[in-house]
Amino acid sequence: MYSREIDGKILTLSASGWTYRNTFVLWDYETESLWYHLEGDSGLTCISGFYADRKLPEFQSAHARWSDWKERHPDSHFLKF
Amino acid sequence: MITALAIVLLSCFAGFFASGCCGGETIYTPSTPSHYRGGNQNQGSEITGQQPLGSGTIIDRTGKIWDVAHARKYGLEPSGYQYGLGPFAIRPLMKPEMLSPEDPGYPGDFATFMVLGTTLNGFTRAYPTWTVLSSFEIANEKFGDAHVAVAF
Repeated sequence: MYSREIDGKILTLSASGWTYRNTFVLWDYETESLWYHLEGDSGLTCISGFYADRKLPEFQSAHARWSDWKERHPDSHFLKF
Repeated sequence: MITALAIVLLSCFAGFFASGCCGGETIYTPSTPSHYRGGNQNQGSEITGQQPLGSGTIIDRTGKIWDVAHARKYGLEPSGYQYGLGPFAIRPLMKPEMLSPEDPGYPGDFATFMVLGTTLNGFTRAYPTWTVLSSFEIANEKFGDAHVAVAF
């Protein structure tokens, strides 16, 4: 999970349609900069475009079975789909 | 990330992130989000619109030209980009709605599907990975005042 905030602006992130080494290359609608999670690094790095070399910091998240997550977070909200 | 729905949406993509959990919770700051498996790794080179144009540019199947010369600084070569489906082939989730425990449709406590869970600014949310995030890749979210991208 990454912050979408940079220099006081809010970015809209999406998949660019490209992958690199089996990892999606993201882009932002506002500047069409490309963002990528470099292996061994944290956060997203802008690899091309207006925000080149800038980073979007990462927040901690967990990949878990719903039953385990629910047990630890009984009041958790769940995505409606 | 692979399901039948994902195959339709992603067309050429063939693999999906394998859930490594057998109970318990994997806490991670993902080193390689959106990882997928399966498919033919060499397929990308055969996808039309993926050929590098030289000088650090690549073109995707919609005809959009991407300047990726700067990315060489990070070891990303133009020839390494695959698929090039186009920037709107996989739309993100925008302002996703969430269910509370008392809402209809809220999953039962013992369901075993995988989720990406997170807590930020007092908000705790879970996103099913196989059915939703694997199709949209990104959910542009807001946790209180924090604008975040939930990425699978």
